[in-house]
Amino acid sequence: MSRLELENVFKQFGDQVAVRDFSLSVEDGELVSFLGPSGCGKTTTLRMTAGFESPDSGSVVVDGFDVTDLPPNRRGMGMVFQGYALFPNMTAAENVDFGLAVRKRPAAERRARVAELLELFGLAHVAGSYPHQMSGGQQQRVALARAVAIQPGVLLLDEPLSAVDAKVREELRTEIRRMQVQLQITTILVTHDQSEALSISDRVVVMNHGAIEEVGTPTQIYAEPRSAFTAGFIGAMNEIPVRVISTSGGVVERGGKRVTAPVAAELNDGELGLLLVRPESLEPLGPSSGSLNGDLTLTGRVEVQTFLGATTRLLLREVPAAGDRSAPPSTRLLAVDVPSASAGRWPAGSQMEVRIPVKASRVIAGQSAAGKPAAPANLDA
Amino acid sequence: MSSATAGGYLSSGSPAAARIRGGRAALALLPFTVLIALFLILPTLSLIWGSFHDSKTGAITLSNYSYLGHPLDLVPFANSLELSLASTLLGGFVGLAIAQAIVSSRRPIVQEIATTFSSVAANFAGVPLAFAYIALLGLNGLLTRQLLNAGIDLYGGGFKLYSILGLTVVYAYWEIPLMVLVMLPPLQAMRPAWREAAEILGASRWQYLRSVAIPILMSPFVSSLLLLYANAFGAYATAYGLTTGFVPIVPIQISNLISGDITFDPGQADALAIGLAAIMAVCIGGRAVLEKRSARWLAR
Repeated sequence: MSRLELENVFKQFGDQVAVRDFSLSVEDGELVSFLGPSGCGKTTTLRMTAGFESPDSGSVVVDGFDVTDLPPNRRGMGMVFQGYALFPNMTAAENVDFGLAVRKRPAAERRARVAELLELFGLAHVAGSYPHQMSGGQQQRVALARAVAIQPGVLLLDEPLSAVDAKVREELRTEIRRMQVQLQITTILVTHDQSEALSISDRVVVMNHGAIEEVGTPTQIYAEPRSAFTAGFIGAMNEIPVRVISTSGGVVERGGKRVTAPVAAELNDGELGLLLVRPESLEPLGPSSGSLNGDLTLTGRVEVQTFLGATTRLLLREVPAAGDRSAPPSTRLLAVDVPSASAGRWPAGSQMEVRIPVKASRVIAGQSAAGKPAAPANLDA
Repeated sequence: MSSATAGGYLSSGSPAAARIRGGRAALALLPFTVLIALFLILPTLSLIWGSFHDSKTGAITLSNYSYLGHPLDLVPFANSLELSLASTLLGGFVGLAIAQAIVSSRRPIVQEIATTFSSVAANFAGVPLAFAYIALLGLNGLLTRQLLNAGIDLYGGGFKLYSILGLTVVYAYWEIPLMVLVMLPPLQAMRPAWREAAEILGASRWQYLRSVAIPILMSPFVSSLLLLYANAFGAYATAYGLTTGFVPIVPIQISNLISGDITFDPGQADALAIGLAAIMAVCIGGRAVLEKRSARWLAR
């Protein structure tokens, strides 16, 4: 039996459908992230799970019990809010103690539990401080400690790291994962930060327009996205048009060359598909490059270089191959990541030929994903 | 060492530039300083001086403060304290309830209309307000007659407009909207996430109110009550317009001592004014301390 089950949950605000047919099972001790753009319904789904919103239809089941009609204070869940929502009139210790106090736990047990949690989250030295006297990172830790103090069946995290700076965010997400694994708490994390979701989740639920777009492990979501939306939303992804020759054999054609590649089942023979390939997978070709081994190639002119640290991202405008009628050239700039040490070989305006590792790619149906430019959108992807 | 640059300009971090900036700031504050000096500091000094001098002989004396030792002379203070307390409690709790209702409506248009009306009503005082109430609740007032026709005899029941009770009702006219105005910001600053956080941690509505909402709102509430109290304590024109000086409260007593033919005693008026100022200072000081705390808690 799953720890948490959301079954065909549907929610509408006026004419606006916020969440449609959302079904998901979360196993005990699992950390699942809801990832998607603003307004995709992830927070509404979380709030329905917590009991702050009622679904129009569908149900929320915890440990086999339907809690859909129960108020939040009877669901046994913990929650960390965006902006923490610490009680400003209470010290860190009093905030952590609040849930235990309203449950009327014995004083000795409360004291021990609060001390244990303050120690676990490295907060012992600010136990007597008020929220306005603490840093953003400390406040976030207090919010986490307060949420887990009541030993919740399910821990809900609503964009818990959105209010802290980038460096603290990175530290805290590791800490959240450490705490979650240590305490074995079933956790739902709502975030629009893909690096956050990919780095600490057991599974990621990609949401779009109120519905689940895709569910998978971070590796699956990143390396084998099944939809153009996921491909475009998660990290930087190049979408290169190819003509499907045979879906059964996985044969696609581009530039007059036919190769085999994993082709999505919904594509038909003769249709145009999009070959998805990450910027780091495109390999610049030079005189010493080996044989193509059934891969495709593409030539482009470098328009922009973006320094990312160890790597530099080159944005290419494809130069169409003469006489190629199998597939149109890519209308978008293509991103290629190269080691920064060698990026000087391809200054802006120069021409570059790259190998497209077809077998490591995937061909999907559909239009270009989400209108998102592949290269410059996400520098930490 | 010169801090001038080659072009003749002073570098922005130089001591000379800092002196110029400081000089400009002082110059900008000059009108305010003059205003404070003329209308606050000098009158206060004059009051203190006058309260310790005999108004006839000019000799230094403590006799102006003799009212502190005579219960009969303390009646104006007792009346003012009673009137201020009653109108503060009435205005405070009714105003709080209205402000909460406005915030709960979650309609910007309601909040806008309420704020505008409250701003006007909180400043509508003095003789016009007194006449409005005489026309409404006087012995032959419109409402008095209507109620009488409906079988309710206000005056027969002990109500008198020209009394402490009547003044309390009239003062509430501006105290309630003043309370609405000063309590709206803290009520609006209460974050819904606090209630939700308390709720998911297992708290009932009452537990949330007792442990979170009431403690957070207590500072701005008490601070607002102090403002209302000071406001009522110092009010003069409305009370005078309504009672023509026959209800002895501190501001009217001061007026009588300055302008009265028989009771003319500016020295005692100064001493009474010092007493009034002391009460006002306690209210304003207390309010400043509470405001500081609530600003920390309710900062966004």
